[in-house]
Amino acid sequence: MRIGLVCPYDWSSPGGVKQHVHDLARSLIDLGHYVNVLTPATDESNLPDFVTSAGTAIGLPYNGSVARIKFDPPAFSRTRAWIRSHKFDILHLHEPTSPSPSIIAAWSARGPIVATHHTSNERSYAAKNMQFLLQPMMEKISARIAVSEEARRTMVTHLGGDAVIIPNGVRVSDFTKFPAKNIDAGPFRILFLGRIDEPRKGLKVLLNALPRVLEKFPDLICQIVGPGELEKIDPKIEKNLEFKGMLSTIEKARAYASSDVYLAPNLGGESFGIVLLEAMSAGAVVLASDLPAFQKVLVQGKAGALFETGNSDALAQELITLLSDQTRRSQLRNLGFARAKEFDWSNIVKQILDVYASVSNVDGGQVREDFSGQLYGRITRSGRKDRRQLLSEIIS
Amino acid sequence: MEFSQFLWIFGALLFIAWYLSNVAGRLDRLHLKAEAAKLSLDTQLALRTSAVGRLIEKLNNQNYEIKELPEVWQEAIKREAEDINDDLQWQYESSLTVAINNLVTNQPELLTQPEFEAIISDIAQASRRVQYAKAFHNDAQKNALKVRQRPLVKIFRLAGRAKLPALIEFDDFIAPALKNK
Repeated sequence: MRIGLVCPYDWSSPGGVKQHVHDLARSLIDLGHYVNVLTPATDESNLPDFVTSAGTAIGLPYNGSVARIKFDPPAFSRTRAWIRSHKFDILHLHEPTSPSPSIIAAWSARGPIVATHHTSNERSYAAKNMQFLLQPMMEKISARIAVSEEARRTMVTHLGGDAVIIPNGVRVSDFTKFPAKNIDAGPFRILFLGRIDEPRKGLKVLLNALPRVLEKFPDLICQIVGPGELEKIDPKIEKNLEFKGMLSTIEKARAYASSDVYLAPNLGGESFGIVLLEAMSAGAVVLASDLPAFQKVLVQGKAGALFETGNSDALAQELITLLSDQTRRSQLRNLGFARAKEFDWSNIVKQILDVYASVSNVDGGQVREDFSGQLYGRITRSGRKDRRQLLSEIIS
Repeated sequence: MEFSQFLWIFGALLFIAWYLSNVAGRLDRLHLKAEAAKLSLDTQLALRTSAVGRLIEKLNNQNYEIKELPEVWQEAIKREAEDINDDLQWQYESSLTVAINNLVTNQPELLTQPEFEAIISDIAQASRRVQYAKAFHNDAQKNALKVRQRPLVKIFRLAGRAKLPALIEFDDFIAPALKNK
């Protein structure tokens, strides 16, 4: 099968959607499919061979963080050329409502089109008011996937229609390369991963809880992985913090494996907890805020511990209990690993291929450029040709 | 009537005509999409019954005692061939789903035997595809139905002679034992 994936966000900066597209592409290639990804890329020199750049991305604040996207005339022509040259059987768009190559691709293609919705946010006036403009594009999509119940609900309220739920995947084998930290060997190491200057990721909640935890475990080390800088650091906890900056997947796997507890103090806006699954694959015990998405991944606290979202005292309390109870930690490590296995890409990709199969008959099973009903299509020669072809198909 | 008044009325009529033709075009696309989804659902159902047929053959060859599955399978395959798409067909599709789930729940040893591995994974795949195809079918039909129920569409008969979209309901639950197979 020839599959075209479209990633809306910059390939050069880390992010959940980009990771999802990357892993999906690799898993499909492993199964012998032809895959090409269209994405904005700031650094075009370092792209894998299955990726095509749609140009440089620009930063735009969205949903509490900065989304690096691409939406300008060169992106239009590059997207059209990409659709023309690859002759895909399936076009799979990610986050089709963001102003990005995804929406451009939905606009300029027809045929079997699948879309995956990642975002979950309760109120987005932009999305609600854009609905009228988006409608013709959205109606071309034959199958919709949501990565979680929350993402599905967001999609249903903003766009209408329905979606099937196929969760995010994790490549477990990427994270089992290093042996997990010995469970009883001190000093304890805990890990935070995420953009430091982004309030939504909840680093503040963790830093506020640390002094209380340090009273009990004074030589605890807190590793902080991710881009950004803190404005000021409490001198009481400074010596226990280790800043690592941004890490590659392999270095991340090492960081997870060398930690006793992985902390996810996020405050909201998460539709899924892919980092939790990565940490659990590497053998770290997870302690996360009780967001609905995290509760689901952790099976209501059976595969990892939970605390009340945004509550530093609750976090401190739960972390102290966890660090003092070795049996519980080793239990959670095993259950967490089993849970991560369920979300391994080898399982998830099967379900995605099933979605492809159930729409592959649309429009003769070929993704083509769509000229119908557009000014561009009416005045250019190739557009007129396409319309004639379309008409003769309808007549026959 | 003054010329400018005439122009206004002419403009308004032109706009209404443009709007109606736009809605009719959109409705046409939605009908086509719904039809493609129906074809796809039919295909996936046929693929499921064929996979169940192979499973029954295999079970018979290995001297397994099965009663429920062959009976509903016979009926489902007959209904699918006739292509009548009445309530009775969806009843048999539901029964087939239940029979598959009962088999894998009551005889879990099938799931672990190496000689059944390939066919069980086929059945799981076919069941998932039926589930997805049904969801996309109902979504497409609902979309078309929503536009058809608009008063303007009814008054100006913008739908032409296209069939009224209809939802299909049958049991498509997949037993937990079959998931990830």
